[in-house]
Amino acid sequence: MSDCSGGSCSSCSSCGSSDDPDRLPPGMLKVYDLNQSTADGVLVWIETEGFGEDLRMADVSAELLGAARGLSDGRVFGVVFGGQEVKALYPRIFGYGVDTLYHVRERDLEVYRPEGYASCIVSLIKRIEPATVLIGATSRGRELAPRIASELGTGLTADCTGLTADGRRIVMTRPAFGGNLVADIECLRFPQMATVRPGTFPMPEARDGTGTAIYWQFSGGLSKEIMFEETVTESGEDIRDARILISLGDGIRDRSLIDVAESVARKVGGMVSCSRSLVEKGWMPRSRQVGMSGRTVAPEVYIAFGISGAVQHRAGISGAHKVIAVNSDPDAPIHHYADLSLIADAGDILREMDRALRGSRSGKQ
Amino acid sequence: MFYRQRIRSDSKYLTDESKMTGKGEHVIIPVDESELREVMRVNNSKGNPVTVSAMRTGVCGGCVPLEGDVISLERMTGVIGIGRDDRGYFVRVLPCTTISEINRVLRSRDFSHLSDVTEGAREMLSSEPVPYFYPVDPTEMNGSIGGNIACNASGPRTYRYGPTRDWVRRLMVVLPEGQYIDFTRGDYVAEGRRISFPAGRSYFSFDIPSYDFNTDVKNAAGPMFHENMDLIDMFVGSEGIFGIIAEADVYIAPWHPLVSNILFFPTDRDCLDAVREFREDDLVDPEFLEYMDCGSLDLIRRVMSSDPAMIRVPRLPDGAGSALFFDMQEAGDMDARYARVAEIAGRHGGSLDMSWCGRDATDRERMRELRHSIPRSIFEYVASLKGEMPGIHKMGTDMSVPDEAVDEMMSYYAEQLDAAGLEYVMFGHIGDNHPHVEIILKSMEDFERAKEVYARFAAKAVELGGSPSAEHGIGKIKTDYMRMMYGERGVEEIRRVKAILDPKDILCRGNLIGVVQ
Amino acid sequence: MRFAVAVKQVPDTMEMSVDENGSLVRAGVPSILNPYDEYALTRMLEMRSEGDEVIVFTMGPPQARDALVKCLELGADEAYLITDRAFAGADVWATARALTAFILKFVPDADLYVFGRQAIDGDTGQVPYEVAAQLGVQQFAYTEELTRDGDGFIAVQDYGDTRRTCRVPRGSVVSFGAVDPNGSLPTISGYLRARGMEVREVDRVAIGLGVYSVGLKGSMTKIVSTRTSSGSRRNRKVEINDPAVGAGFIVKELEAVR
Repeated sequence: MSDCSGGSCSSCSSCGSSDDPDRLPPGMLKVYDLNQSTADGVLVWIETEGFGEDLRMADVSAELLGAARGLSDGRVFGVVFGGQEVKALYPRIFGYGVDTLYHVRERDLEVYRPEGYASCIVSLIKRIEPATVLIGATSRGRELAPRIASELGTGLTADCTGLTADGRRIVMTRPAFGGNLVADIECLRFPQMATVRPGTFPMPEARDGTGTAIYWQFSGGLSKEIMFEETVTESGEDIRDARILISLGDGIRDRSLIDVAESVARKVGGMVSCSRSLVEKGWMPRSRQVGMSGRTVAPEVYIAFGISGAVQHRAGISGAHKVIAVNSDPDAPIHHYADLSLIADAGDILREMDRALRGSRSGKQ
Repeated sequence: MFYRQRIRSDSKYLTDESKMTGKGEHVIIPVDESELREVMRVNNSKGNPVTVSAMRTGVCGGCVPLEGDVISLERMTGVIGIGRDDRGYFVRVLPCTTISEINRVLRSRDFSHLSDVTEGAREMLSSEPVPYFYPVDPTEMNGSIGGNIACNASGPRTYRYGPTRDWVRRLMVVLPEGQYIDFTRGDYVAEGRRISFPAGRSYFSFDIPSYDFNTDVKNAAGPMFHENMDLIDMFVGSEGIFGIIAEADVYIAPWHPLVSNILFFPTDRDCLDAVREFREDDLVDPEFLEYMDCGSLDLIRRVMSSDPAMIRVPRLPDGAGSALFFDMQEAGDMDARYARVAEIAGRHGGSLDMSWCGRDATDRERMRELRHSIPRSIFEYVASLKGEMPGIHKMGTDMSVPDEAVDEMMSYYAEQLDAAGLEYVMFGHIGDNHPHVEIILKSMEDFERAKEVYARFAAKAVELGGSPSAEHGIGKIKTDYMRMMYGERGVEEIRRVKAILDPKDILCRGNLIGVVQ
Repeated sequence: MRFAVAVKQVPDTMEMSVDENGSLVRAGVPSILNPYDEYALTRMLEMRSEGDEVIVFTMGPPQARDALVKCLELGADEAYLITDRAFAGADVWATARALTAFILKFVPDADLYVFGRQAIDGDTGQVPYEVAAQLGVQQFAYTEELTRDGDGFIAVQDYGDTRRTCRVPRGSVVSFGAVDPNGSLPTISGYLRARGMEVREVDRVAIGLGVYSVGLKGSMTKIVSTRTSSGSRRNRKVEINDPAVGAGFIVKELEAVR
């Protein structure tokens, strides 16, 4: 493909068609026409994390498998990439309700390559003709799904926070930016595609099962030259996984309050996150930052201490189930947004919580 | 009947942006001018002191009551009419209308709910090709027009448009005894130093004070008095001691798209030299010239990452040692005008590449935010030093001097502050020779020393023919400067005028002339 | 080399307020250049060396021209506004299709197609990858660093849990992952330079797409309805005088989920 990217491309009428006869340049676009009348079932991309022995299924993939059964009367398909080590995941995958699992064991595709993955999944979709394709809205999923949708010429709804089935049709719900509006969206053709936010569906019960596994052979697609890859290990935990976030903002003027917050987080089983300003002050690592320039989180409870709640920050917490704000400024925008707003000094409340929790905890144990 | 309620000791009616706290019994909230007159009649008959308050954005305690009741004009708000006379369009407004509200109404260009003060004015204004605006920009756009008139507010745009005084066409003033006068500029003019006018059933005729108000520099120190003066000018800047503004007509000006610019210079000296050239130049024609010295930029760099309001201000260029902020109307030959800017900047170590430029509202606001963040940055800075929220953290000057004295004043500032070992930043309306010096107070000792230095600055400003209170007014906390400028005699003369209009001395006690012992 | 940067004009969400129902008030909100795109543009401008060109393009209503003028002021060399009434209501697919058609017609020879990560007004950052698929080129998402390397480039991508370094062939799609919230401002020189430049307008016919391939008609998804979120915040406000009471409130809320 590398020879098809220079100035010659404008006159080249067969761009991309060398390795896939179905792909034509736009303008002469011929999209694959899925058999609309018979498309049925749900295909889920099963994302894996870690390597070798540590290989595990991403939580969001499990959640989607758990939900897929309820969304369709048809079959539930899974597609997973990787080598021999993936076999260890089979029982769990089937246990989550997959009828047929397609396992792609191409050497080239053992590591994530969006171009190859997309083309491969497209070839699979053409074979099994699912009505719905679901992909977790992870950093890889968000990149992969549009590539697939574009190759198929179908619609895609990103970052869904809800899916409801109406026969084969799925109504996809996603939040409109920043505010509390949500939009219900339908895809006008099959397969209907969606990326779904982690935490949208409950984690299904873990149990082992059996089903059909098929090795899916695929060659072609663009290759990609990955020079090297490193795993970023950031202080173990990820704020995106936390069920409770104690989040600190500009109203925290005393650095020692971070320790208090950590102590509170430990006692309630949560993590400490923060807004941008504390990262820039150098008080907190960037991996803990929530918001537009940080991470998007969806905890059960998000407690914002001394965070004013600029739209940039709110964008990162729209998936939170409950937002509690503590800010002494009654006009802070966060107070319009939170479920529960306490107009009080963040430091006072934090210290008091730390004290109160110490009491309640020792009482329970 | 009017609304009257007891006020608590922590009530917002007892303080303003000066953070001075006063004492008061009740707040009275009249809904219109007739209620206001009744309020005054009642209080006058009882001899009960009243202090007028509106948006409480003043920085000198003008609306802070010392005793008695507070009259809050908060319900007398709104633009009510549009008119046009020989000078141009004006809007009729109630006293508690904010500047931003006036501009909002003008920008909306929907005047259907307003009345025609002169026939067809609404129609004409809405069919003008350009929108209009109220050009005095007192920085605090949420201050009331009544308050602005009462202290003759000014701001960066005074450089081009003059202070509030120049824009007041007509006033309706309720006098302490409950009468009112409704008059337009030109209706009552003093003969020499004697002024006469009717008000309700009374007729006043008295000699005005003998001092001449300094109009050569930006000046917000008290009411204006001079021979053959207009009565309007006695009320503008009088800080409510003579009467309460119940309605006003203020002129408005056509608005043109503006380009905001910031030029960066290597040193403070370079910037100040460039300012002198800009002021003498006719081609560039800036709306205002705002200065930020090296200390200001350093302060911004220091707190920028932690101040959420600065989130959208781009990082300052590395070589920037001082900055000059100015707006230009997007009109005429921009290339030629900017060529001149480039020439001037080039002579003083700047260039058009070392600059920022913003056309749209958002970018212009970002640049404005940079300038206005300085006082807040001082707060952040002191807070970071002390590790806690400081109560008193700065002391700011508000002094203007004539053109020829600005260099002397600037070096006097630096000299005195350095000698006192105080940390400070300088920024502000350099076009009007009116930079603010903000002295950073890191300790109580700093505070004591700053007070001494401050008094010396005020004396120096007066000595150089300037004003110690160029735009903030006198209020209750700067009354010493009145004496400094006009002498004991001048203050006594103002007091005499007040005794004629307000024989029981009930209105806005403590403002301008202090309290008679 | 030629770098084509896709940008978008968005409402200034910082200026947006929230009404009593928690919905964003959009009326009267000024429009700005999407900060993510501005960041991508400034990165490319930094990379530009003698003889290189940075071309910006956007699809949007006529007033989106302002965003392009801003790009020119920041230093871009050429600007295209892809605008047509028929483009209204485009979803990701229709947007990507129009952008791709534009690219093939007007900048087929660019060495990189550069995007910002996402638009701040709700786009979820899918357009770059749909365009990449339609162009049949490689895509480099969440790019953190981009450097020249011989005939091509090297990108460092940040996937959150992994960082990977890839060789980027010419003609690829690159999407930058970060944003500079402080943003940048043009210089006066930039402003003057842009005054002498034009924004070229391109309509549907010029990019050679039929009416049924663009806008609402060309979209593959349809918004059925919008409503206030069922999970909309309850918005209970309490003024707290005694910290212990406040802490009690929160602890109670936490116990409900534990």
